[in-house]
Amino acid sequence: MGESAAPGRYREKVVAPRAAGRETLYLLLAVTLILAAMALRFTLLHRSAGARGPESYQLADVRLKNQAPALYRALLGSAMDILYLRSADGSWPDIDQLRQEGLPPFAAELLPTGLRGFVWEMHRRSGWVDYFGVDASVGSTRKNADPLKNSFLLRIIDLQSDDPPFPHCRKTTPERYDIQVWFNSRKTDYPASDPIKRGWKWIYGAGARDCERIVEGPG
Amino acid sequence: MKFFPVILCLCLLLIPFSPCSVFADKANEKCGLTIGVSLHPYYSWVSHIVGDTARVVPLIPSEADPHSYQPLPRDIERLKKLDLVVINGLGHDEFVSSMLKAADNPRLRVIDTNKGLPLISVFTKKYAFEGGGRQQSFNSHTYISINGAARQIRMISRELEKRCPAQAALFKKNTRAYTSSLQKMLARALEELAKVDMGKLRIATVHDGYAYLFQELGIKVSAVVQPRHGIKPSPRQLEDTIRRIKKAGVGVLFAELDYEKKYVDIIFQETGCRIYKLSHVSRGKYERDYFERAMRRNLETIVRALTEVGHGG
Repeated sequence: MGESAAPGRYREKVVAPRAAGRETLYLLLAVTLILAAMALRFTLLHRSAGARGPESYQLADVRLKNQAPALYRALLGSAMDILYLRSADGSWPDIDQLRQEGLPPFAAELLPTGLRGFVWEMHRRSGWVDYFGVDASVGSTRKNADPLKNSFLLRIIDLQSDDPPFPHCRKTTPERYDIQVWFNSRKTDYPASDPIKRGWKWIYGAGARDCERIVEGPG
Repeated sequence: MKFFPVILCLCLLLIPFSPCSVFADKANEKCGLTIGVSLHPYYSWVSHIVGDTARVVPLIPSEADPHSYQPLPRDIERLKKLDLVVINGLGHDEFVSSMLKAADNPRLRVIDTNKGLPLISVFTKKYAFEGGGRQQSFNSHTYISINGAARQIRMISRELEKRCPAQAALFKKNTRAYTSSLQKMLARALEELAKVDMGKLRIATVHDGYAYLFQELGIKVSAVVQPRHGIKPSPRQLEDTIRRIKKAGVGVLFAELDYEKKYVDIIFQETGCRIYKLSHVSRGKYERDYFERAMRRNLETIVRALTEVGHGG
């Protein structure tokens, strides 16, 4: 604004404040600093809350697609019955016994058609048992094309044994067994050794509530 | 030879005291337990397991809504006389926790049917004052299933076997027969569904209570168009339901038995979507075969619906 003059009286002169141009800059800088402080505080709070994401070899059950959740839940659900049979008989039940007990997924007639092609085998170890299944009717070259073309592994670990496999959960409860379901996006062989190196993912979900921390190695 | 009739008479007199007879009598003796149940399916399950050897007592009246039931003093008194109570534990029978506290019965043992079961997660939005983000809980309708029900029945049976060792063999036998019967129903339904091409079918439900059952049947649910049951839709909600059905391209909608006909007609007129009704298995007279009848009906309805719509009927 420039000067204006009322007739015969006084003359206005607009005086710009000192460093007016820089006030806006200072204001923007202050707002930026406040936002940065908020972001830093939020990040620190998030870390201190003990939030720990899944491990790189874990997969959330909610990310399973199509009929994979049905097979995952059937496997997880069979674990309690398997443990009961073991306590009753003194040994891990084999596939035929599980089939006769009417336990899906081993009793295939109790599954949707698309999951009935799975063939199961049992692998006993000193401290754990694996029930490994692949869809025998499928080729092995397609990846992630369909969950039915995947491989599944139910692993039940006796945490009181001398050599439980890794990784396994250290429980918050006095629960003796760690029940795990592993998933591989390809049709593959049984992972006799480290499943992680063979591309297997440990599916986690509601059952992980009592997992205090994951033990990945001895010591 | 002349002593043969005497020996025969002696043998006949000793039959009641034979080992087989003794054990049979033991098994059929009363277990003597009084077992409370919080939901209709549990009444059927426990009744099948124990037969006549124990007493099964529902905690709420037959037509009461377990979501909104307010316990009365007589309910608390009843709880004080129970030996065991079978509960859902996932929020479907929230009335039970306050009853258990009020009853303060130290010898009452609680059987949580969902302990150790694989559950379906449910995510709900948290408001800003709750910290925002999403809250995880679990779908409590594990009883509307067959394989899930079979697991729970076996688990309940094991707990009862511990309490009544003399009847353990009987409970095991009853449990095996019952679960086998239920699973044969499921197997028949799966065989029928195998004949239907479900690739292009879009299915929605008016409630998320059937998630476990549909998963067992290998059926993908494209949308749940109304989150709460028992609530009559307002015009706005009905409009939203119609919009979501159209958007998802839903061809089959499974509603509940008490879903009013007028809504069925409106939705069909607006969307061409066929509606079929399923039982929530939570209302009606407490009877031993209630669960099996309700689930048979549900399975038959689902098979019929998908067959009719899948074949363009």
